[in-house]
Parts: sequence; C-alpha cells; structure tokens
Amino acid sequence: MKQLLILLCLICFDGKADLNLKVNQGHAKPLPIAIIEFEGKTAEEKKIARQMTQIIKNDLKSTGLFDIISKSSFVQQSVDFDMTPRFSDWRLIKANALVNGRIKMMEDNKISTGFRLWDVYSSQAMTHSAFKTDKKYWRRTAHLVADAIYKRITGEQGYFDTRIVYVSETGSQLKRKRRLAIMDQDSANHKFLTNGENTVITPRFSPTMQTITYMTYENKIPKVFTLDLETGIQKLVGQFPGLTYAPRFSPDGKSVILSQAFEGSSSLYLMNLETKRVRRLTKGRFIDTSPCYSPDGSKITFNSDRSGRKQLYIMDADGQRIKRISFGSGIYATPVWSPRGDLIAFNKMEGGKFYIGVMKADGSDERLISSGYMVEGPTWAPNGRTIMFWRQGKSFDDGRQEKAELVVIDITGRNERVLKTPKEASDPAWSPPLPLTLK
Amino acid sequence: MKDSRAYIFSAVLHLLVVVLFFVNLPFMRSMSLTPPPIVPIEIVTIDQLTQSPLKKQRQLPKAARTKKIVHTRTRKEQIPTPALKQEVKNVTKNVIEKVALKPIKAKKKPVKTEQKQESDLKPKENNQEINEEKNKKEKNDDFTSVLRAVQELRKEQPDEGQEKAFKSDHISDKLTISELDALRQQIQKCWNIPAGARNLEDMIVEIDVIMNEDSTVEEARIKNKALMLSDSFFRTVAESARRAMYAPDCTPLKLPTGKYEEWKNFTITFNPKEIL
Repeated sequence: MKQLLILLCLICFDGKADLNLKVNQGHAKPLPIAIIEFEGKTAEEKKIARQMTQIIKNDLKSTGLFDIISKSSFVQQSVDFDMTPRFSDWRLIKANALVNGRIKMMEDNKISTGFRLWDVYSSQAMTHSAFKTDKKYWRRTAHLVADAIYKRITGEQGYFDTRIVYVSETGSQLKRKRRLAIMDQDSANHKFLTNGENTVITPRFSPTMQTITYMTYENKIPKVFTLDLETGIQKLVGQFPGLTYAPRFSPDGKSVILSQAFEGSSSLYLMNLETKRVRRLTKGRFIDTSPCYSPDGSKITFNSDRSGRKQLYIMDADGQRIKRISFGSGIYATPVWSPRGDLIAFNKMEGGKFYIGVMKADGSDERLISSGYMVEGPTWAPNGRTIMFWRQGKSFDDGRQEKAELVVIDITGRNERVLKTPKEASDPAWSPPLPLTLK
Repeated sequence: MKDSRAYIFSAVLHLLVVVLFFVNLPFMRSMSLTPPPIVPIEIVTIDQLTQSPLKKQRQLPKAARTKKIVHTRTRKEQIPTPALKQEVKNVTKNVIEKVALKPIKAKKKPVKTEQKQESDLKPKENNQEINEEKNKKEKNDDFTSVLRAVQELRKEQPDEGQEKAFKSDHISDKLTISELDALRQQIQKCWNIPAGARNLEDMIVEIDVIMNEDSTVEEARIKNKALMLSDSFFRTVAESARRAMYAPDCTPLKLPTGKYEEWKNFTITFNPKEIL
C-alpha cells in the first residue's frame, strides 16, 4: 500500500517548475529623489516653506544616499498637497521617490507642516506626517521631516535632528585655547559652552538625555565633570586619588565609566552618578583605557596593553571574561561601540599613519574607512550608519600645524565630508536624537 | 678500347639521368605543400545551441510544420501492424518495468511460477506448508493488485512517444540561458542596493512578477509580506528590489516575444549576499 502511495505521488508530481530568476548583482548609487518646494499661501509661509525645503534637501544630500533631482528637470512643476502626483511625469526624470509638503500659519505664532513621500515607480504613498510647532522651531521641524523621509526609505533612524558637541581650538600649538562648543549636526546654531579658561577634552553625550561628560584641567589637575545642556548645571564626578580620564556614560545614563591612572597603571572604574559609589572593573599593572559600553549595557570594550601592545578587548559589564578582539598589526585605540550594536569603531596607528576603522564586535571583518596624518576620536551618529572623527594635518618646524577639522563618513567608507565649524575643531561627540519637547 | 668503354659508360650514365628526369623519383619530387583540410567552425550564440527542436520547427514555414504534424499522426495510425505492434509493446513494457516496476517484476513472478511447478511435482507434506503457500499466494496477490493498479495508471498516462513530445514541447518554451542572462543583466543594472544597511547579507527578497505581453511589468509583488511589516531593513531592501522591476531602464524587460506563456508570471529572487 505504501509503495502504491509513493508511486502515485511520483506519477502525479508535476515536474514543471515556474521560471525563477536569481539576481545577485546590483549597484549602490544614491537614490534619485525629487523634492518639490513646500506649498505656502502667504509670503511668510512661502519663505518658511522655501527654507525648510532647502534644509530637507541638504540633510538628505549630506548622507550620500540620495541624489536630489534639480528643480529645472521637473516635468510637473508642482503637486497639490491633496492630490496624487502624475507618476509618469516623475518616472520620466527617473525620480525613484517624490516629496511634497505644505506649510500653514496657525494661531499663536505656530506653524503646521505636512509632507507626503511617494514611491514613484510603484505609484504608492510611502508615508506622510504633520508637525505643529512654534514658528521659531521651523528648522528643527525641517530636520524632523528629513528624519522621517530617511527612516522610511533606508529603514534606519534618521539623525538630522541631533547635535554635536566638540572642542573648539584657537591659538598656536603652544598657547592653545580649548573650549567646549555645541552645534546642530548641520553646523547651524553654533555656541560655546565654556570660556576657554580651563582646557577641555573628551566631551561625551549621555545616551538618554541632553547631558555631557567631559574632562577639564582645573588648576592643572584633570577632573571629570558633567554638564546639563538645558540647565547649564555643571557637576564634578567624584574625587579620585589619581588622574581620571576618558569618561563615558553607561547606556542608562546613570553611571560613568572612566579610566584612573594610579601608581603607573590605569584601571577601569564605574561610578554611579546618584549614589557616587565607585566600583573597580579591571585590575593588574596594565594600562586599560577608553572604555565604552555596548548599547545593551551587557559588555564593555576598551583598549589595553596587557598583551604587550595596545589592542582592543571586550569584557562583561562586571569586568569578567576579558577577551582580546583585535589581532592585526599596529596599535589599536579608542574603541566605540555602534548604537546599533553590530560594529565597533576604532583608531589604529600603523606605519606612521593613523586610521579610522570598524570591525564586528567579535573582532572579525576589520575595515579601515579613513586615514590621514592624524585621525582620531570616532563617534557614531545615533543610527550607527555614520561616523564622525577629527583630523589634523602635519605640523611644521615653525610651530604651525595644519587645521584640525571634523570629518563625517559613512560606514561603507563612502561620502567623506568636512563639517563646517567657525574655528578649528577636535574631539566630537554626537548626541542621541533630541526629544521632541526640547526647546 | 678503353675510350669506347668510357664513352659507353658516359652514355649510359647520361641516359640514366634523362630516364630519372622523366620517371620522377620520389626523393627528387618537390614536396607538395598541400595544406591540411580546413575544418569549418561555425560561430553560434548559445541560444542557438540551447534552442529545442520545437523552436526550430516553429521557425520552419507554416506549410512545412503542418506537413510534419500530419506525418506524425500517420505514423501513429500505422502502428497496428501485428509484428510492429508486438515489438513496440515489448519495448514499451520493458522501459516501464525498468523505471517503475523494477522491485516487483524481477523477483516475485518467476518465484511464483517455480513454486507452482514444484507443488505440482511434489506431494504436499502437511497443512503448515499449505498455509505458508497460501500466505505467499496472498502476498503475491497483493503485488499483482499493485501491478494491475500501476498498469491501469500507466494506461492513463501518455505513451512514451507522447511523453517525449510533451517534454520537448515543454523545453522548447523555456527561456534559453542567454535569454535568462540578458534578463538578469538588465535587472542588475536597475537594482540600486541600499549600501550599508544592517544585516544586508541576510536579506533575500522574492518577488512575484506579473508581466504584460509588451514585456512591461504589470505587477511586482513582494512575497514576504509579514517580514515587510516587522523588519524595516528588510522592507528597505525589498522595496529597492521592487523599484528595480519598475525602473525605466527595465521597461520593457528584454524578453523573447514568442515565449510569453513562459514568462508571463515568474518569480525573481534578489540576494545581496554575494555583493558584499
């Protein structure tokens, strides 16, 4: 009976297989996107609409993932916000996506901003949204619209509504003035946070709130401070017997992990910012420094000379199970865990040259994405797609040195660009996305 | 005397030379430079090689095609010649037995016959033997029923000739390797992969494509809808693949017009793993 069933199955089986084509090649070019100037009826609405459209274009273009189609190529010059676009017209100019929007002035000096994102090729609406804000926040609203477009198309969280804190540098190498400064990710709204009286280094953002931790040389003694950007309140992080440096927040923002040098060695310490309790994480006569948590808080990456040369390590959050992850030639430093957890950015020195690289958290797939005479201090955009670092050129015998600047690069190594700053800049730190309630 | 001998000798030698000149001794012949025979090499495209017989038939003039079909039918009608019929039957039987009935045919039937013969020759010793024989007989009856069922099914199936005809018909409509390659290359040029996306290597997108007869895409449907809703990174890759199907450079798709039945619906799998 069983044999008969098998036979029947074999006989009844239709051997005809449908055509199945496999495509495993493609190209990675910026996505052509058309952004129509947002609608506005009054002169003021039109002015804001024009400025917002420009910011949205700049944000998307800066990623290197979008190719903004010039207005002069548009066949359909405007699309009514309440109507469906003529997709055939947009297909003609090879626009993959289309954005249109509308600005409306409301009562109490508020504006309403609505936008729609269309998939031109499949003639479908991809997303739409509306924001109601105070008129003075039109710039942030534009960043939020750009974030929404970016998120819908790439699947990643946008990072346009974020800020950068960095060290602004002025003066000669001998009389260098280092001040803490902050600006939007597109260099707008720049302001200084310290007056330059005391040298400031290694600012780092709290992952959960708009607070930064940094190190300053107060009376030539290095100390770690926190600064609340909303209130401006500055707090000293504990009193340690030795020199403390390289502070960084834990993912919950409640603790700071740092390195403390004492009697010729450096160990990692964790300090609870509420209880001020300090816990030592590493021991031994090694130099352990640059600690950084994984986004889930379960692991810590750091660099150490415990193998004889500076290499990267990871360990459990309680300091147990230390494991070396870098095995390449040269010296590795400042590991920074990506906010999405998949990669670790690092600094590498080899053959008299500095590199910025990324590797998987287990140390595999090491890739060097930028190099220079001196490139340092990688920091991740909140979506883990883009890295910022600072670069400085050669120094000359007469004391001059090439300008220090902030550089942004995609993790693929593409789209390297310099971020505009009023003065020379170093040691950047990227903020998490700003809360919508932030003023 | 000596002189005359010398003259004779000289004359003989001269004569020999003249004879040799006319005879053409092999070593004196000039080597003929006949080139080796030219082997013609015909350069053909792979689609010509992969074209099935039916396609070639289709390329024939209509009259010729009709003639061939008529001829096939005539052959079928001619089959009932007794000797030929018997031969065909045997051949057919053997082929089918080899393929489908191999485990049953070879062992059971002859054994049954031998047993029967033995039983005819030897007297039955006891009831147990009879029962055993009965059981065997029942088992054999099961196999016979299986065989009968299969033979009935076989009757319902087209005969070998028909099967072959169907197969060749089926193969003929298939897209050739070069046609598939051309299509693949065209779509590859239209696929803008979202570089740097998370876990890109694990994103395999399957799209069901419904085509219009003019080789334009009527509809490209992403198969894994659930993943589209739950994984924004998958959605990004899937949408990039779908966009490729509608891209102006892929409209129309490079598909052979005569094989619409073969490509009117197809599935395309986009796999960025090998790109990384």
